[in-house]
Amino acid sequence: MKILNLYNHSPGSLPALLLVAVLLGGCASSSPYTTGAVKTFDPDTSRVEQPGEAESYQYWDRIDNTIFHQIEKPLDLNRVFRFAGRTLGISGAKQADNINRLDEVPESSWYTYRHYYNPMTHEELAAGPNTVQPDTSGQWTIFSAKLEGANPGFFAEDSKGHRFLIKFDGPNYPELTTSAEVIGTKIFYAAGYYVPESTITYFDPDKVTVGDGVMVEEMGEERQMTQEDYREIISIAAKNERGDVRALASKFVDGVPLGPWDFQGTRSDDPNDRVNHEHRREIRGMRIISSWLNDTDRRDANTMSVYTENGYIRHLVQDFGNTLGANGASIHYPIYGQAYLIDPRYMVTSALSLGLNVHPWEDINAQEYIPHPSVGYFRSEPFRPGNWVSVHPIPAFENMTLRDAFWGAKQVMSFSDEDIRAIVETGQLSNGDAVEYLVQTLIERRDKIGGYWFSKINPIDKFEPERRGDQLTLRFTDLGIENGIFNAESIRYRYTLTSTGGQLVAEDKLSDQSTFTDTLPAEEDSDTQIWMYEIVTLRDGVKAADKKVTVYVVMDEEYGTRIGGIQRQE
Amino acid sequence: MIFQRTCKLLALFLFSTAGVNMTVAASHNFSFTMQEAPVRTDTSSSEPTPYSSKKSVGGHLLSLPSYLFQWSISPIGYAIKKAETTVLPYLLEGERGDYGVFPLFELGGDTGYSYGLLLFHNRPFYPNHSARVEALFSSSDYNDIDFEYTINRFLSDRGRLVFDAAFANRPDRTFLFGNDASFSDRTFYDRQDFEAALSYSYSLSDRTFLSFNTDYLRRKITRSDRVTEDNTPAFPSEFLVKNALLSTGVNLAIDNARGIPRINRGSRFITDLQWSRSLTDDQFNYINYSAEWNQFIPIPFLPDDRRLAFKGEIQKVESLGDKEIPFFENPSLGSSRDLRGFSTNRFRDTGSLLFTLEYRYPIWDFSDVVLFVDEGQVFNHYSDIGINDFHTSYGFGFHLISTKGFAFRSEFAFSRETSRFILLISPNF
Repeated sequence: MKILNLYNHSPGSLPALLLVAVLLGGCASSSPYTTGAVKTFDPDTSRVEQPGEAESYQYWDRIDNTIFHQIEKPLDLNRVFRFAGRTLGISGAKQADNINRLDEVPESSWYTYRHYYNPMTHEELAAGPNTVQPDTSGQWTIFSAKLEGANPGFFAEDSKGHRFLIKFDGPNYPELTTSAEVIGTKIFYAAGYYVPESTITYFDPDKVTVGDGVMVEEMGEERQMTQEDYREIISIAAKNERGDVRALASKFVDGVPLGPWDFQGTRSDDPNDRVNHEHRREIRGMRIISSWLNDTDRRDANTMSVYTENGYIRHLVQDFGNTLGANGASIHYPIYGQAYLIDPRYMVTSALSLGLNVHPWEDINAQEYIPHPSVGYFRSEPFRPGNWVSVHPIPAFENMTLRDAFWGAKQVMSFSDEDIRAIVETGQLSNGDAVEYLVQTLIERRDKIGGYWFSKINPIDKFEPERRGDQLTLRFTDLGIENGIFNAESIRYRYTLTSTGGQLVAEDKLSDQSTFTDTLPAEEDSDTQIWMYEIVTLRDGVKAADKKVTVYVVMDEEYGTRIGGIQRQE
Repeated sequence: MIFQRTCKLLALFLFSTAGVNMTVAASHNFSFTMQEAPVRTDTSSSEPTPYSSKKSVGGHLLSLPSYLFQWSISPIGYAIKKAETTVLPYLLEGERGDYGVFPLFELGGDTGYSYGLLLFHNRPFYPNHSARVEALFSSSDYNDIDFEYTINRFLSDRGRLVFDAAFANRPDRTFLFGNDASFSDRTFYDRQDFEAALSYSYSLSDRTFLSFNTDYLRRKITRSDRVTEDNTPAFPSEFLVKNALLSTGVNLAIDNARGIPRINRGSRFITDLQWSRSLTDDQFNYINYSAEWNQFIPIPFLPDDRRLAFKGEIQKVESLGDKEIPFFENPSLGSSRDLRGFSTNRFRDTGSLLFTLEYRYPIWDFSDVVLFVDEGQVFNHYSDIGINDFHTSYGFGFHLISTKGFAFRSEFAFSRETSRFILLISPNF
């Protein structure tokens, strides 16, 4: 065997040695558990100088992520080596950078624990982020026009001084876009994201006036907005039997808007922004929530950063007008959610197959699958959770690992049928059948998500250790069973319990219950004990069911028995 | 075994380098429960910060190629961002005014590149009028200026009057004559044209169109410098002419082709008859007639956008009395729309016959792949047409499809003699 002689090398080998040394310097390992406290809050809310506003680009992020980012990926040797390592089975996926010892996302300016962690009532789910409703009893004043985007609208201030962005449905699909906006907003809110307040409102069209100085552009020239302009904007809007105009009212967020945040990199002028966005768990896992809603237009331009009064930047997700069956003022195309707008994977197969390969979305006439105009094109049958993509590639979504997906899937699965109904009803669809269709489709898509992702990884969670005397009990929840995805009778758990010191208490012990109780040996002379459960779920007929979850239980006199770490095998 | 282990360690070393270090800070303030699980949690906002994306020096080195790529495209990103706030809304979001100016660029051709302007006005004088000027400049040898004025709903809601005037000088046109002419016998000429045309089109129905036209063409044929440079045979001196021609004719089109944005079924017939004579003398007097048939057929058992497209076209020119026909008015084959794999005007005679079959199928909603074969021959008399006299060209291409239909094509065509790369905004058929 040839051994590298570090002391007798040729001058030419010095750079190579330096490179090796540099590369070695990058190696690091960390303990899978902590005997201290688990970080559940990422302190990224320190006061910072107010940054400037970032420009919002409608085309650049799409072009960049669709073309340049795809070219760049194979040029990043980190990614190439990692891919090769995964292929050879000697390296794992690049995991998110902001996960704690419980494999969870800490709360931050991006995310807060909500429905999965602390189940919300139906009233809380229906209310979502909303704190105020637009006052429709008094006069509204338009203070700015919004003519760009898929459907025009305006900015109005109600008689109580609250300011809202007012948007309308497209003429051919009344109630579609506005209901999608509200439902999508509330689901994302319950999943833990920061979102703007959004509500459906019906206002008297005669109680709106155009303020002085509101300008619109016509033929390249600016002029004062007139009452006729306002009438033209609302002429296509849906109305109720009293003639009130249906609209989406999005309340101005508190703080100073700073433009969108990106799905990649960090913001250089925000010292709190330390984790690359493409490596944030809550953004990677958002892909699963977006897939549930067919949130196809998720991209930089549909996000918002706000400088709060406490002096830090909060990160919001917004613009849900392309969720469910809506695609702006119109309906989704069948291809949406199944392939990118430009998708070389399918283009190559089409070209090489001489057209004989017919993609599943190709021979679908969307109009034949629209049960109600207010629902648009939103189906569960063609939905493939593992293949879902947004219209444009998103680096964070591309980086999603199985663990990120599991995190996203358990957020989705936390919505019960009744939870979904409570949220859908806030879309105020006038057709009861449309409500039923939407609820049912969301339920079916939710269950597909659970069925797919919970089959890829061991879906046990919510661990609770308890020590009584020399008995150690570990309780947990099998999310697959809890959500009715898997049959409890077909499931058994095999676990091994050892101490980190090597004491074996149980080896390959089988249990058909999600509660393990074992007798611990006499205590050693140690302040802190750490016990390790290695749990495998045995599920009949389900691929990858035998993935392992390792749970570390920490015990000491001062803080008692607790979970110190969780590791999930992918 | 040792070797395997060494490899695995080396690989692990590389892959761990590709990773990102995560540090967890010592905790400060404790609580005892998090959600349902008994957990010691730290929700403090005190430093040191627990989470960040850190890349080792080695990781940065491995990312160096991607950094260089990012740096290299930064001007493109800057340009697109700049365009978004200035040009793109004007071009893409329906805010284009009634008049404007656009730059034009043309790559390829004899002179490499040319540049110019497009000026348009969509309602000069009256709402139903439109005007446009395209001008391309390259060198004193190659210029192209085209002016078009259109009056829609002229005399009738179904009528349209178009006046078109153009000046062009283009060097190095290829000259060969006959179906069996050898490629090595080719020679070259230069030409300079001024053309003015007036045409009136009338829609007999939604699918039947009749048009009448009168053209004035002044053309000058001169020797090409390339004859000397390439040592090719001399251009026939009797074809060096400077003449003015007046033509008048009628065109009938029946368009039953259907499908938007992709034509996938139906047929199209186009017939044309022109009478021309020279104005400056009585040397030329002839008629020119042609017939074209297009048929579109979807492939059974597949979606309709997998389709065959067929074109058959015959052209013939006949002299009247004992008068002559200018050589450039004889039909020729070898262009971007017929016998595409041969050089321009490769075959020329008083008649031409062409068959084209294309298989068009989508690879995406905005792009088709096209596989094609062209078969064509030129002839002097109809009796000269022979099954063994066809020349074959074949190839493939990509068509861009807009929501309204065909937008752009790039094709690679081949033949036994040469090949051609085509980039055009006009369809073959």
